[in-house]
Amino acid sequence: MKRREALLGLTSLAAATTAAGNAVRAQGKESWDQVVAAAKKEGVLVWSFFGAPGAATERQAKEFEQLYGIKVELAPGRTGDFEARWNAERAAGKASIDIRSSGSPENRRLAARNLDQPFGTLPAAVEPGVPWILDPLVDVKAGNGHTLMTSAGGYYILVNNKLCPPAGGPRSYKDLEDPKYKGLIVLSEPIGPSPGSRWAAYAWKAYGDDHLRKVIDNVKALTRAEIEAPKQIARGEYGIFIHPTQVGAADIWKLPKPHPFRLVVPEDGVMLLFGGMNLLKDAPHPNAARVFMNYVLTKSAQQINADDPGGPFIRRDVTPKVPELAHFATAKPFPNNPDTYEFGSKLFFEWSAKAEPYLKAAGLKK
Amino acid sequence: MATAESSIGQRAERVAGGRPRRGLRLETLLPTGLTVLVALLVLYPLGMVVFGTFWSAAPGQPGTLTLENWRSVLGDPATFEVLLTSLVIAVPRTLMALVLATVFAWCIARTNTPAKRLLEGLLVFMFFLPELPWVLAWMLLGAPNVGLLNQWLGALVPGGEGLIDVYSYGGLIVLGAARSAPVLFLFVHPALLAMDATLEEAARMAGASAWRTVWRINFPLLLPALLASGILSFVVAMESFEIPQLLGAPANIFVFTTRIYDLAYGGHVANFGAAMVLALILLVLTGSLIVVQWRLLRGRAYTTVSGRGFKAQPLDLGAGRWVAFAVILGFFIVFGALPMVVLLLNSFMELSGFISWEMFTTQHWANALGRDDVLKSIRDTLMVGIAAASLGVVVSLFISYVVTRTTWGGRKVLDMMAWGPWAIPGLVMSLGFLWAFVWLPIYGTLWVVVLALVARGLPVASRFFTSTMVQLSAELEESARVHGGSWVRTFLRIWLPLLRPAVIGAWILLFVIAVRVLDVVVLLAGSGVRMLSVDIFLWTVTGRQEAGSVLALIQTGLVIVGYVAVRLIARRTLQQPAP
Repeated sequence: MKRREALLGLTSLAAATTAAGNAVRAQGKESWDQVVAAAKKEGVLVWSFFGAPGAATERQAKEFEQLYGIKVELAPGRTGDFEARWNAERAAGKASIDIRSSGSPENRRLAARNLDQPFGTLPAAVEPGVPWILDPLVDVKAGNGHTLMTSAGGYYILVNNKLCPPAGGPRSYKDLEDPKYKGLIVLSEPIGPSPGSRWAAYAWKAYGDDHLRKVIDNVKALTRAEIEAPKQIARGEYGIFIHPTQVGAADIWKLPKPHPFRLVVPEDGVMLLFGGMNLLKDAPHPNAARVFMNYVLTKSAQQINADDPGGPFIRRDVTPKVPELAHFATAKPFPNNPDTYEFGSKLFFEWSAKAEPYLKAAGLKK
Repeated sequence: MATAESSIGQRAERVAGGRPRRGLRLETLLPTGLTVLVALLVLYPLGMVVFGTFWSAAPGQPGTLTLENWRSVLGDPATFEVLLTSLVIAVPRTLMALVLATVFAWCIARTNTPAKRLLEGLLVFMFFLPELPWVLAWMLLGAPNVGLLNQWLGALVPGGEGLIDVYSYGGLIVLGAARSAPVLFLFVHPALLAMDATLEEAARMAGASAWRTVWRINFPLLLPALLASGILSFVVAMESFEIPQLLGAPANIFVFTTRIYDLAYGGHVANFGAAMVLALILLVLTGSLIVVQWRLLRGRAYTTVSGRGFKAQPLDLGAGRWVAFAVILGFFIVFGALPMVVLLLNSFMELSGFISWEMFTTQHWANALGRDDVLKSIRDTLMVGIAAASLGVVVSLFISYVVTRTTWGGRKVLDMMAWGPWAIPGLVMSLGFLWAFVWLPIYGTLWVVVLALVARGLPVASRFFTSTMVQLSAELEESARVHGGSWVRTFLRIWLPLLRPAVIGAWILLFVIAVRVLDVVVLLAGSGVRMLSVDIFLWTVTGRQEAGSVLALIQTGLVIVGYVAVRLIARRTLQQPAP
């Protein structure tokens, strides 16, 4: 009997909470306090993100719980796994995830397919005077869906000092065309949203087909183990890796100095990578999600990101743990202002597919 | 085994106990009930996969019926190229694994090779090693020029640093065979143990040489187990993902599963339909192999365990016994101990793959053991493993019984259905499970994971039981039944004692699969459920291999604890006098 009453009580509470949430959303110009109050009533937030729980995600979840008393359930997963699971749940009327954060191409795909919902006004996103690397509301303001930009990072060129000494080494992406690098390069396979796809898309857009062909002619091997590749460079398995993010390179930074490798900040610009976050359609805790999206833009949450060696952040007013891995915050961006909306949309995949015939011609793909 | 057999004739009479026969109803209900259950566990998810091939979107999403997925896959020459590449790798890999497993099992079960229990334990231990960290360890050991093994070889032999290349067809075949051989050993070894030794004795008495006896007696009797494990090994080779994904791409080697992965996850929008078409092609291939298996075994008798008990002397290999010992030990050292040592060292290094004293740290262990979520992972994994293995053993045991010991009309269909979850690559089958089980009220709990794991383990466990059951004579059951023993009583008192080693083996297999399997768990476990396999995968692929190594070692430890516990329980029950 008690159990039944408890269940009835829970059902009523859930109904009341949902109604409150809906009401708050419907108001449009509601005060932020009301959103926070509704979020606290929801009590839980389910946060899906690409990868494994790391020090930063766990610290942010903990700090958010302390600040708002809202429990954060972490649901890590790759893009395909997340989409498969979430689609099935929605079809069954059991959507369990509130927000998804990943690289912006994935988030923009969600937005482009109308699988997210507006998150309203977030005080932290419109706080005056914040030195953003990229305006978190860039997509919203451009009318390109509801992706919130929450972090920034960059790609570099990683070079082994012994196989490719600094004197004659590459200084830019353009330099990689030089035949003297033939047989030295390992390239992240351009497939899906891989770093290699990003390189192919950006490089093709900036330099055209001939550049792709020349660089690919110099490639020794493709890899799908992008996490291993920086270590392979450090060990001298390959001479040049196109191209790790600052997070990927952070691992080998732990090696004793002097390092057997160097991170080249390309003179023709850093290819920037932004992390996005979406409030998902049918989110069971929409208000908690909005409060969390606001929280991740605060200086405190961004500093937690920056405390991880190579951790990505979107505010310039934080202090990175390893400054050498944070050039993306100040370096010149790659030509054509990368990571504009089209880079995260379908065009990105069309452009990266330009590498396909050259990879086949070079015998790197069948 | 021989002890259990020795008094079986008398026991059959005691079991009967003169009670009237009452099992008829259950005999009829059992196959029907099983078929319904297996249909729910296998056909339903499989049906979702088939439906997915004809749907323009993911099941559950708005879409239309279409043949486009089939058209695009069958009209793409790349489909047949990767199929050919997969066969070029899978066939030699399977043969190599089968030869290794059979030779190892024969040496340990039927000869006087020294330290047999140790060797058996080492091979079983190799089965426990998780695949992803194992492959990463081999990337470290066998990379051309800079791999640790190559460096050691280079120090010994001039030019030796180029001898091993894991990024090659050879690497994919040899490493794949090394992964499969211990699994196949688990199939072949019990079958060899259960074999009636009087046949070998008779051959030897008639003057046949040892090798002739093996070829003319052992090999034909082993045919059911060899065929079953061969097909299983072939399917595993065809659906292997981690090895070709990590080692194939740098050598421009792309196979069926990497193609499925590319189609499902590689494009602008996930193309599950095309991926599922590829998966169904593999299902047809496997289904054909099972039909071949039936034809090969049709009309032959493989009974080697009967009411007579006999234990033969093991074959004396002479000095060759030390060669056998060295070969098996060498196999373990190269393919089991070396990667394990790398895994262990990695877990104590600041950065995995860079093994030196100045990089030593205990931080990863301290972090892992001090975290609540890791403890929850261990607890959830154990619960799921025990439940899935126990349920799976019961279901598979009855499936094998119906398939091998009854004349029920639908038994071949049941047998074929039980193969389903293995014949489809896990990447795709897990989607079928997800789409099928998301509607169940238990979705989001541990139990839905248990159900899917039971289904995923059915082919292995039922194959395990089937190959043992076909060796058991029908006279044992008939004897008890003639004396009035009910079906249930006969099953419990005759079958179970005879099948006890197989039950233990199957339980261990299912437990290991449940603890290690990733694809099903990744999609079905809700946010409140933590599993070690998922944590290991995510930590490893996102650059935290040191922490992943710690979890992999914990996972291996769990499996070993489960294995030892079951063996101890089994030994205790085997020592109890028969009722």
